[in-house]
Amino acid sequence: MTGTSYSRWIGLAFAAGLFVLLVLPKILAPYYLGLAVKMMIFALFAMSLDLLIGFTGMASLGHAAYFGLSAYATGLLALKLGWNVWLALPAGLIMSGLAAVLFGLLALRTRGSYFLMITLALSQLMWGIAFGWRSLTGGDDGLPSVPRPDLGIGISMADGANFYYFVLLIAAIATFLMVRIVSSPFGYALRGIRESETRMLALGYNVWLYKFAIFIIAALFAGLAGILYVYYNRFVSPDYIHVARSAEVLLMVILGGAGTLIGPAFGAALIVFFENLISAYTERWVMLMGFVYLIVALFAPNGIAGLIRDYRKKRASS
Amino acid sequence: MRSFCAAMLLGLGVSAAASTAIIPQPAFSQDAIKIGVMFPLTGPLAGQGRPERDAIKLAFDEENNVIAGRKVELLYEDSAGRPDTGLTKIKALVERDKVHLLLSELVSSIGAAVAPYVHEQKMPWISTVALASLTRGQKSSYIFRFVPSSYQYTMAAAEAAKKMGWKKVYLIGWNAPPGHEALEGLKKVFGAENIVEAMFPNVGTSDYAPYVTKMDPTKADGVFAAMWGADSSRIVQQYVEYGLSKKMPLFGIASFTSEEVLGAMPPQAEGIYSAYTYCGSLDTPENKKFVQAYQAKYNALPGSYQYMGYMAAKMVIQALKDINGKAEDKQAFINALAKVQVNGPMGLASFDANRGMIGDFYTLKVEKGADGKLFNRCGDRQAQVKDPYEAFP
Repeated sequence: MTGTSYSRWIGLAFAAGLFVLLVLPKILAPYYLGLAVKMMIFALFAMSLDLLIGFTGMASLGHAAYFGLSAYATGLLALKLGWNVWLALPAGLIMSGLAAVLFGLLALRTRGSYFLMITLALSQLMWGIAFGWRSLTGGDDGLPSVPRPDLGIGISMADGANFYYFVLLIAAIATFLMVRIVSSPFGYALRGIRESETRMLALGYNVWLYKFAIFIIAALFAGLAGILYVYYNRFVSPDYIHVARSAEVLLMVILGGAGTLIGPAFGAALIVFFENLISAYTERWVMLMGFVYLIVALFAPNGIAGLIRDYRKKRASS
Repeated sequence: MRSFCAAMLLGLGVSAAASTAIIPQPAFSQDAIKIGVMFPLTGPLAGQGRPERDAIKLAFDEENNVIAGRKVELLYEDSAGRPDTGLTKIKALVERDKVHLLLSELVSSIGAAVAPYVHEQKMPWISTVALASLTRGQKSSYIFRFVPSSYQYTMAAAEAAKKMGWKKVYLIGWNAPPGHEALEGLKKVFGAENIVEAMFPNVGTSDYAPYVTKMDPTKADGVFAAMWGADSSRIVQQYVEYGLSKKMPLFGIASFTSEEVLGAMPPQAEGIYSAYTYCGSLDTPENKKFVQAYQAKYNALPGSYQYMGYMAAKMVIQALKDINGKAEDKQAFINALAKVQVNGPMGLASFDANRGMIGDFYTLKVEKGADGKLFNRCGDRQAQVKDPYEAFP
């Protein structure tokens, strides 16, 4: 494939994708539009974890902590103090950012499976607080009736299409930022750390600082997803922080293909699709999901995106 | 970098579009009354959700799925016991499937998440969520609760024990809303000074020894337990092992000794009390018919969850009959449902002004049957117990 035709194809795909996303509210029924919003939110969440797992080689099993913490912060501020989105959204981000600073200092002392364990423990700690502090968080029942974001410019977010565009805009900006991050020198240094920490140290990189920075950045994007999710569902419950959610997003990343960004986004969409559409037809949807994991593990160990990449490489070489 | 963006957008767009294109919409006949039935069918609460859904199906099968000449279609969904999944599924039933009413759910966190949406959509929703706030702060004329609230069943249990002569009591309850609300209920009935100690282990605690060994039979007349499912059989096991069952009676709140957990309890569980709106061995023709029909269809004894599902469905069926099957008229339906009285397996049941359940309570005692298996013997009846709204506004 020559360079020019390839970039033309990319341009076409870009235009087509953008067009589809922009006209989606016109062609989809409200319920499916809601699902599309859910897919975008989880795509954002999965991409944020991919920054850690795929690009830096840090497998975290506690990523839902940041998703949930910012969701709680935004939900509480919107519900109890009536803060609008311009205040509540940054406050939520600050919350997950601060948590990441604190947890990063602890968790980054370890690596590999120990890192996995400590991130898991820290997120379960947050889950315990959300579950136990009933007077603030509502305990197991969570906080219902969080209002939709109020932009203060006369656009009602109760309207499904408007909310869709709101999420699309934020997700697009966040995706753009993440793509910039991984394709910057900083991003390439992260890949270096993933391949060999000692070599990067020998080259004079402050490996710890790089890891700390990406840990916080990933938490901020996860927090952004959590904030969008609380506005989408209009409630927050301890379930947002639970280890099951961390595991779910981890599966999204692995299923889609770690280290590609597009892969985890696709994995997220696929899992949301299964959970909500297949389950209307069979209660054995969990088993079907299991088969999908099995097939991916056996035939596409690098995820769906990895499979496509390998296929393209093969075609290019033959 | 551009390719990243392009592929990303394309991926998102395609997957979202695919969700409508790949799967065809289920086709339904125009005239059917559509009822959304969502329960946890997977996950840790599937053990309660599936049987309850089965019991609802049984109630409609008894009508041959035809009410007032209209066919009834039940649309099933799986909430997986998770609030966000549950909310999305409820939206699917309401917006995609256009159901006429919802007969769904038993998990309180899902109930709390779904309630504001259902109210906004003006969608009649009959739940078996024991959440007290559904008929208090979050109350809506569209939301009906066919299950006793946590205050309601605690007060009933406490009154029953008080009648047996209990004065000083222990409480061991889940570190979750129903456990804490049980304490508030007991305080009202016995007085705060007569609660010797209240302990709140977490849901799913595997070892109750630290709690059980703290209970002193010389200090109290008995122990109340507010925990359910696998936890109730576990604590009974240890209560028996530490010899407390011989010295101090145990009183389970609500469905503590429900039929589905009774099988897992040790033989020494004999003598445990509880008080609830369902007693499996009650000798009425309606209950015999219910137990036999359920057993014939699903080869298991129905417990309290099955009863709630079955009766909630019976109430809905009666209300639909009263309005001649015109389920489209939601206002007429909720007005009819609010007035419905059904004589079911446990006697008369109805809804109060806040749309909470009213029904008879029985004091249950676990005994060994002729076949050597444990069963609930139905004792004293408390007629037409209402949610104590005045005591807990």
